[in-house]
This record gives sequence, structure tokens and C-alpha cells, in this order.
Amino acid sequence: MYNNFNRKFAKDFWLLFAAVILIIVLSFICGSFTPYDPHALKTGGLLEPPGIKHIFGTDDHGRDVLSRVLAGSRTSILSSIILVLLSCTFGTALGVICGYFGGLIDIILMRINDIFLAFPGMILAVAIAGLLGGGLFNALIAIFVTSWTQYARLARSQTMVQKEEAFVHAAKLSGCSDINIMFVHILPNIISTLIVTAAMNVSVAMMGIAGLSFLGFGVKIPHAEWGSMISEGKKYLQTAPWMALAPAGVMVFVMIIFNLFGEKLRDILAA
Amino acid sequence: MYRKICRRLLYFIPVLIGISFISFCLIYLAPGDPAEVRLTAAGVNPSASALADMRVKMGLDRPFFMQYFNWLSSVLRGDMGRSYANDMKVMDIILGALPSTLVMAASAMIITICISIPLGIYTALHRGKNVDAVIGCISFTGIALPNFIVGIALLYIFSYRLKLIPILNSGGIKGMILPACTLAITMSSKYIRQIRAAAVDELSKPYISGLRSRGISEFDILFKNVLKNIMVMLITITGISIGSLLGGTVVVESIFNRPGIGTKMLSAIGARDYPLIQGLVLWITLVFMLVNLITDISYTWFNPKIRNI
Repeated sequence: MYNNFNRKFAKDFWLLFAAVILIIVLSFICGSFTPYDPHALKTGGLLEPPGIKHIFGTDDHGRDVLSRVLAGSRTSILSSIILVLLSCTFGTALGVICGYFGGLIDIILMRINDIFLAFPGMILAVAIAGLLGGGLFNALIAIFVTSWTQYARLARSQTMVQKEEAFVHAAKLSGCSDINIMFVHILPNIISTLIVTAAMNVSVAMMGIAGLSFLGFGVKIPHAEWGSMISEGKKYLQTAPWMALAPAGVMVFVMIIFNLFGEKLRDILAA
Repeated sequence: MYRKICRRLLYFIPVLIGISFISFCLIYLAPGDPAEVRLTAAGVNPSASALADMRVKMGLDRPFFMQYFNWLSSVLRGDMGRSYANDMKVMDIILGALPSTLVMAASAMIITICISIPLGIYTALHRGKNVDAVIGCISFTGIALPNFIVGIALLYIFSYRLKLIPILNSGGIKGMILPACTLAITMSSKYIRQIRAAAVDELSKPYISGLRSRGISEFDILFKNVLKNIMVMLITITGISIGSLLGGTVVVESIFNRPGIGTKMLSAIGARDYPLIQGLVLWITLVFMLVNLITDISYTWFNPKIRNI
């Protein structure tokens, strides 16, 4: 069963790719075209169970949970993709520079990297987000600080291998500048590993942002975001479990799709 | 080997200094004036003169690096300062909260090991069969589960639906079950996959056929050879897990209202209790680093080939 499942998806990389693109596009579009207003407070119809009118029910302020899940998808998905892109770019650039030049720059930057690696990620993120105060931007900073390190390590070790290849020496002899060699000749050769790591980390970033929001350090309360919705729903677990379970289910589903895509990408690029 | 361990310890010093510097800088990242926070927390009206007095008393009028060195020297003497909120010693608060968190983390780790080693090796032995397929699917889903979703789901199922475990935790062993399981479920999914991969790799090596042809029992092959050889990998991921375990306790303790390091961290941030936040970050990081050091050293014990730690 699992193998069939695996084999089916092994052939269908493009299917997963389409699913990922579809999720991103949908989160963009549906965020603006929700069946109900995700923020409008109502006096009647509080905590209605899921039904035809409200597929995921309503919350403690009478807001449609489906609309809020859709509105939250834009925040959750887009911000985690932006976060991964930023930390991957920053980490890669630093790693390539360290690996290529070596020497003092390498020692200093890698010691800084060691220091950030020494902190357990979530602890530092909670401390930074908490001290900076809530808000999506501060939460993104907090997770960025702890997530760029792995890309820097990876890019550095890969660059050190590539640096000794004949084509790099040839490029040097033909008078290419260091920047040119680093980003035109070396980077294309190491980028696939980094892309795979980044793809696998989208769901990790999503968990991080939602986790901070769940603790109250991320997105501010009236704004819809999956982590904060689950946190609000926790209070009504007894009477209205759909408030927490609907965003949780959607979030897990989206993360599974992203993980499947990441694994597929790894199989293809590693081969 | 001892020289290498010593070198490794020396190499820790710059990292330690960096960690202490970042922990100290956390206060400078924060908006607001620590003197004002402290006065307000003590219930004193922060008038201009009171503020000025407090700033001198706290050493905030001195240059940045002087403040850092003063702070560092008192930390080295074991004095992490006093909490703004209740004037207790930061060290005492941390030591008081530590046992609960450690017990929770340790039980989560034990549950994880007990679930994932047998399942990982079992699926490796029965590769491609239905059991492997089902467990593979479950662990793949488990990786996509953030611990706060697992926690909420367990709370919903066992406390609200089945009413097996009281919602408000009793503090005893019963209150420990759900938090420990929450942490264990998210970790074991990763472990099962990695143990399975390592065991599959190990089982395909020629020496296994050699052992089998010599009539060594399957049990001995598994436990005396395969398990021993995947131990290095297992120790590596265990060491890494300690970090996520310490971070995970923040979320899990807040869901299940358990006392511990995580709850202290959240309340300290809520109250802008800077010395306590600093102390907690510093301590958790030190514990994490120590665990990683022990992990690295233990490699040589399980695999004498690795001498270059």
C-alpha cells in the first residue's frame, strides 16, 4: 500500500508541484474572496456547529471558521515561504563567501554561526519575539535569526568542495572576478542541495510561525492566522471543538503536501 | 583522545562568550526602559528622580560594555540577579522549575526510544510489506504535526471525549502522561523513519549474510550487531532532540498548564522580567551545549573508529 502510494507519487512529481502551486495561488486568491467576512463580529449565531451554511461552523464571535481559515492561509503560507527564501538566500550567500575565501572571514562568520546554532531554536525565537513584542514581522525576525545557520553551513561545505574543481581554477586563470566565480560558477553547482533543504523547511517554518502565534507572540488576535486560531479555539474545546480542529486539520494537510513535494524534489535532484 | 576533548572544551570558550553576549543583548533589543519596568513591577510610581536613582542602582548609566562585563562577572560567580517581579533570585527560580521540565523531557525521551527502536527495526525487517506501509504513512503524517496540534488533539480525545484524564492537571503522574506523549509522538515519527533507514542500510551489508550463513540467531544479529551499529546515528539525533525538547516544553507546558521552565519563560516575557528571561535563555543553552558535548564524546565509545571529534 505504502509502496504503491510511493511509486504513484514517484511518477507524479508534477502532480505535487501543481498541488503546491495551487495551494499558494488559492491561499492568495481565497484570502480576498471568503464566503463570509473573516473579521466581522456578530451578535447572533455564536459557536454554531459545522453545517451547510458554515462548513467549519462559527467561532465565539460568530465569525465563519472556514472564512477565517482561508484568510489565515495567506498569512501562514506566504509568510513561511518568504521566511524560507530570505533565510536561504542570506545563509547561502554567507556560506559561499566563507567557503570560497576561507581564512579570517571564514573563522569569524563560522564562530558567529556556531553561537546561533548553540541556542535551541524555539527558545531563542520565543525570547526575541516576546521581547520585541507581538506582530508577524517580529515573529519572522525571531525565526529568521535561528534558521539561516543551516543554509550557511551547507553552502560553506559544498563550496569548499567545488572550489578545488578544475573549472574554478580555469575561471580564475581566465581572469574572472571572485564574485563572478562564486555566484556564476560555483553557486549553480551547489544550488540543488540548498533548494531541497529549503523545500523541506517550508513546513518547519510554518510550524515555527504558527507556534509563536499559538503562544501569543505572532499575529495579533483579531487577525486570522492558523496558530492564533488554534490557540483561541483551545478555550472552546469542550463546546466547540471545530474552532481549533478545523485550522489544525487544514494546516496539517498543507504541511503534508509541502513535505511530500520536498521529498520528491530531493529524490529527483539527488539522482 | 583526552587532548582532543580538551581542545574541544577550549573551542567552546568563544562560543560561550558569544552566547552570553547575545543573552545580554536581548535586553537591548527590547523596547522600554528596564528601570521603569522594575519600578512599575515594584508598585512605585516611576517619577523622574526615582527613575534616575534606579538607573544608577542598576548600573544602567554606565557604558554598554561596562554593563556587559559587570553582568558577566556576576553570572560567573553564580549570581544571575533577581527577578523584577518578585525579587527572588533568578537562580532559585530556575532550579525550582527545572525538575518538572526535566522529568517531562526524560519521560518523553524514554517513550520515544521505546516506540521507535522496535518499530524502526521491525519495519526495516519487513520492508515493502503492509506493516511497513502503514507505519510509514503514520510516521510521515506525524512529521507534519506541530506539537501544539498534537497536544490539542490529545487533550480533546482523552480529556474531553473519553474523560480518562482530568482537564486540570493533577500534578502527579497522571498529569504527566499527555504532555510526555505529545512530545513523544512528534519525535518518534522522525526517529522511526531514521532508524528504519539506518537499519535497512545495515541489513543490506554483506556481513549480515555472513552471520546468517554461520547460523547466528536472528535475535543476536539484530541486537548485537545491527542495533550496535546504528547507535551512533541514534545518539546524534537524540542529542539534537534535546534542543527541540527544551523548546517544545514551552508550548506543551502552556497547553497542559504545567509548571516548569517553559511556563516560567512565558510568564517572564509577559511581565518583561528581563533578568529571568536572560537567565532562562542562558541556562537552557548551556544545558543544550553540554548535551551536545557529551554526545560527541560518546561517539568514540560506540564507534572507536571515530577518534577525530
